[in-house]
Amino acid sequence: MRDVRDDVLALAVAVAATIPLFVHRGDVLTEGAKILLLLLAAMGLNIAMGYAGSPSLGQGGFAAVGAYGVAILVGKDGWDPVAAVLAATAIAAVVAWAVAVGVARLRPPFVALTTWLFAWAVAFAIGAFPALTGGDRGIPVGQPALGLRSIGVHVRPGPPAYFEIALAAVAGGLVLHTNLIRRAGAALAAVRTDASAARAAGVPVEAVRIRSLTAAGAIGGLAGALLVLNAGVADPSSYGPLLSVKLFVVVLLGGVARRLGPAAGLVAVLAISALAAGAAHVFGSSATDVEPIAAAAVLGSLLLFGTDGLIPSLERRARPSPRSFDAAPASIPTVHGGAVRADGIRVSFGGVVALAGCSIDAAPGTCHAIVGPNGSGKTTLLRVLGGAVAPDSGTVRLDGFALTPAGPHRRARDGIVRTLQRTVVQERTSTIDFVAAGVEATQASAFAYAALATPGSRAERALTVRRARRAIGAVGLEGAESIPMGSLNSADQRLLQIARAIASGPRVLLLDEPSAGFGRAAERRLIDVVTMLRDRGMTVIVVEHNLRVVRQVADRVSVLDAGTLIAEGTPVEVERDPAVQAAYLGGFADSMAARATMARPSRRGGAGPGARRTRRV
Amino acid sequence: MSVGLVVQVVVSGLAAGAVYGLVAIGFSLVWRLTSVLQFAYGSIVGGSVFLTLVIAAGTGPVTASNASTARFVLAAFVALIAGAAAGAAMYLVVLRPFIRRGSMLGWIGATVAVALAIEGALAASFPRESYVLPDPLPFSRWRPISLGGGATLPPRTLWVLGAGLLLAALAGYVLTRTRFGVAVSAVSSEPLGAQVVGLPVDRLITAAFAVTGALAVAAGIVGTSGGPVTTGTGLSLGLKAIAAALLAGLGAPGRVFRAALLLGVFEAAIVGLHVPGLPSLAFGPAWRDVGPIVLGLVVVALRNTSLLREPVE
Repeated sequence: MRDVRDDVLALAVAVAATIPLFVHRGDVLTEGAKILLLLLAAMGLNIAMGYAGSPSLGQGGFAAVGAYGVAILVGKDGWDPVAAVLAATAIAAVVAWAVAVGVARLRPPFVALTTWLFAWAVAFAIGAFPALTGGDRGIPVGQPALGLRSIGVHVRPGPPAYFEIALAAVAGGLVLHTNLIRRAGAALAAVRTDASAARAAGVPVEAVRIRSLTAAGAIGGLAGALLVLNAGVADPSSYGPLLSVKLFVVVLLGGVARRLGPAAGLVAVLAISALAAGAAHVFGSSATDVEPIAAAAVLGSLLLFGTDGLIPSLERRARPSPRSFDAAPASIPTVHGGAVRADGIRVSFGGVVALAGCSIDAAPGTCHAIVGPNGSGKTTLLRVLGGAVAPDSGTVRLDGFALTPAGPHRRARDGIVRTLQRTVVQERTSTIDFVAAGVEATQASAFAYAALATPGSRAERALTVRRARRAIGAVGLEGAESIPMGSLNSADQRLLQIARAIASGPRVLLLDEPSAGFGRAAERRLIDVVTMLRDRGMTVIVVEHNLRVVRQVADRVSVLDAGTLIAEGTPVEVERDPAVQAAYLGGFADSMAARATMARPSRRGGAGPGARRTRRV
Repeated sequence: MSVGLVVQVVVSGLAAGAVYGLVAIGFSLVWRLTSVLQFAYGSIVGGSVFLTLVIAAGTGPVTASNASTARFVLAAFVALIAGAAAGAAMYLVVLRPFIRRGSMLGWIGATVAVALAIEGALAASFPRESYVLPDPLPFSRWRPISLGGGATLPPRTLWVLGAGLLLAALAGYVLTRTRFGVAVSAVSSEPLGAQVVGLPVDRLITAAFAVTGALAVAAGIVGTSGGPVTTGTGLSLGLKAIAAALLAGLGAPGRVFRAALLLGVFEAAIVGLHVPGLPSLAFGPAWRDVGPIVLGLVVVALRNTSLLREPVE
């Protein structure tokens, strides 16, 4: 696990730490500390915006809360600066948590919108209450001495140790970053790239977003508090929406979800600002004119270089050619399969009744197939079982205990995991990281433990890797662990969805059309995988159009038509049922045998993976 | 608290709300057409208001000699064209490249960067603390209508409300009754389907950006004329419009406009009504900008509609 890049970073930090021993000029050290603190705020934002994919424009607002918190406590109430910094950071964390809870369920663009409004609300509030905030003049705090100097010990000349403190904070931030990515990176990547898929795999998406936004806000608050002490004054123009945008652009330019992205982005933005200032000077403009020029320059560079960011564009390598795998599924340890029983499930969307009182009963360690024509409610039933849809009435029981519709991640904790109908692809993610998200989803170790690399979270990490490897082997993809998911063929990508689902060791597996788009060979592999899982004791409930697959894997079959159960039995019994034949073929029952696979129009209109999966035989 | 004061607060609130509503209609329409949030509307409004100011009165103090109705009409006309052009340019130059790349972070960054660039350019070009946009009609010569109890309604407020409602009705007519409006709603409900049946989707979207840009500018000019404007006026107007659009879940134009009217009354109420027993800090002019935005945020946090919420697959 030792990464040589970690050592290079540690060396860089150590070298930077010696700067104050040579450079004694106060303005240089203060400016250096300011840049480091901006970097700290950007690194905080990178957790929310980069890793968890919540585009926050509120970071400047959280920084403002920290900044004014510390300024009021130190400048007006005469607090000890260290205590004030801690208190201001805590206040920022609480505010960030409240904002995060409010926006966690929104679509990502609205996260940007609401956090933008938040940043402005903070800025307006600062302007609106000059009695508290000092109005345009701000609150002077006068670079208070910290640490040893506050008790009269001078280690070095120059201003108080803000440069060292800022550097330590950045180094600490880098360590937390590194731990977080290594231990919870897969779950974060899943949330960022495809929240729906992450949810189905059991990742508590909202909780991840709330934690990451809170962490980002707390770090932003800390940076804001230290910025005020370093500058000696809390002035309103330095915090708030403008800072939000600056930090957003810094993270975006550097490359989201990259450890060194914020640093690269900050260097780029500082360079652009310097160029703009130079240009303004040449044309004889005043300093205030620089801002729009700099903003335009940043915008232009975004348009020019794309939005992948600097670090990813340096890393980009040739894409490996597609590889195929064809191993037999490796057996998994015995599973204590769950008994799933749903009774009288009713679901309607607006006026459309999707399920009109459906029941299903899957015995432990059996494979139960759900078939039926398009729009008969198969996927809806699976979503109810998986906790994604709350039924209007009816109960779902696992081993006789009623489950509340509390969301897919709670189901995953209960041992019920679902795959989606579409293929979820994270092109550049290695297959093992893709699968690991399924394990991280159900682990107890929270974010904070992962970031602090507690012994418990280290042990969990080892377990995650072991389980992910086993799941990849179980779907016959042994040897594919380290290659990017984008270079698997489409059938292997689809099998990998199952691997992600079973990685956490569920007792019940819900599969939504696993064979969509499969040729005969891939079909065979799928059948082997499902049969193996069932034989090891897992309960498998599968929605499937391909009756050839159903016939080979299913112990029982439920047939739905227009939201009601019309038949139930073994595959052979069900195929002979006249009601089933009528529902499926509407009088063309004779051709049933010839047409084992039903044509299925894509649910998601237009281009994309959905369209390609439609197959007519 | 007299009845007259309540009427004054409600009518002036409705007038302000109508202005927010016109911007909010455009904001929501653009979201439904392109799944893009146009953060820069307020700044386009701000830029156009200052363009109007320069043409109508120059940057000096407004006097009888430089404020004439004819000159104001010319200025407003030029500003409307500029607003439409800015709206269309926003789509073609700034947003479309990112939409085509599917880069959400890109268009967010780009629109806020444009907003701040316009703000910065305005602040650099108009250094005075505030400017006065002349009135289109000589309202200052007309006497305010007395409502009793010391409450009055300036004629200007009635003009803002009337013009705002008229523009909203016009926007409603264009969006629901004309061929253009029907085509636009087809694109917003099913872009691919609209393309398949032969609608020029890209041109329609560009036109919608232009129309909503002009609408926002019209709202801005109506709403700010006769009063002091600062370089931040457009931005604050845009933010309140966004708050109104959020209140209505970025839904249909009528819904958005009604939400904006309510928001305007809310703002007028917290600013104008003094509740006995509460300190003046709690309810007063300081809340003019903070109040409506916080209301929008709180409502979204507590009761987000399915339009705003991420679907669970």
